[in-house]
Amino acid sequence: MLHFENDGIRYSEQDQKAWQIVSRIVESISAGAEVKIVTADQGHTLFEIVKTDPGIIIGKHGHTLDAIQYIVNLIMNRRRGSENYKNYIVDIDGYRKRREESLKRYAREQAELAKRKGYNISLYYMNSMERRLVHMALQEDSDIITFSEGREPYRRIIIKPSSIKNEEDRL
Amino acid sequence: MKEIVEYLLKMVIDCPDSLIINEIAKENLIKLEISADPSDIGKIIGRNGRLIKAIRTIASAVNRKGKDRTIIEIKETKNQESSFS
Repeated sequence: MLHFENDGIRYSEQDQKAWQIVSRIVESISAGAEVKIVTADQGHTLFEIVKTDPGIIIGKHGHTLDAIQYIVNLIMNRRRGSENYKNYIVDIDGYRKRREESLKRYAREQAELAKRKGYNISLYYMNSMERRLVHMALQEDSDIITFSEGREPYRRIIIKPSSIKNEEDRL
Repeated sequence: MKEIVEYLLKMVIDCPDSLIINEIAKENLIKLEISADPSDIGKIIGRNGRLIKAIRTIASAVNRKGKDRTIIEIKETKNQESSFS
């Protein structure tokens, strides 16, 4: 059922184990689904799920895809220190890239709004990976600063125009 | 559904031999009763409940074909004290 197709490339035992975990999960969600290793280096390995309906694997708001990715990272990094941490990314049908683009677009729109209106804008609740992307997308814009507030899973980014100095000026 | 949950949990706990999962199918729901060594309960739940939430999400995806609801419950295994020593 699950055979490791390596296209002539030798992957580490760790990558093969991670591949096996992802394969077992997607196979049980959707029989016939397969997993490919797209890239693998010291710090990152990218898996692409193929031969299945992307909607089923992605789930509502990407929750199923995120759960698969979370579990494989948890298992694989359980006994590793932070310096040996390896990041496993699980993608299907270019979803991560599309999601990243739409998040950045949303973040920039909201940043413009914050500048124009001159007050803080709260973004919708995001997980840590999404927040990190937004912080990075906006860090070069010196007219605003970004920070997060709230507790997971209700943690979100606030975009604050740099023109606001004190808390009292906040609307 | 039980198989995949069991497979995943065994890789995050320290006493996989104590893990018992009962799958109970009722009219319109499937319930998984997970019992594990007390020292592993925290690992199964995960920080801020993240692991058990991810397990629930995956179990629901596996079970999506039916209209069945998926429920997961965690129990501690009773301490098997040295009653037969």
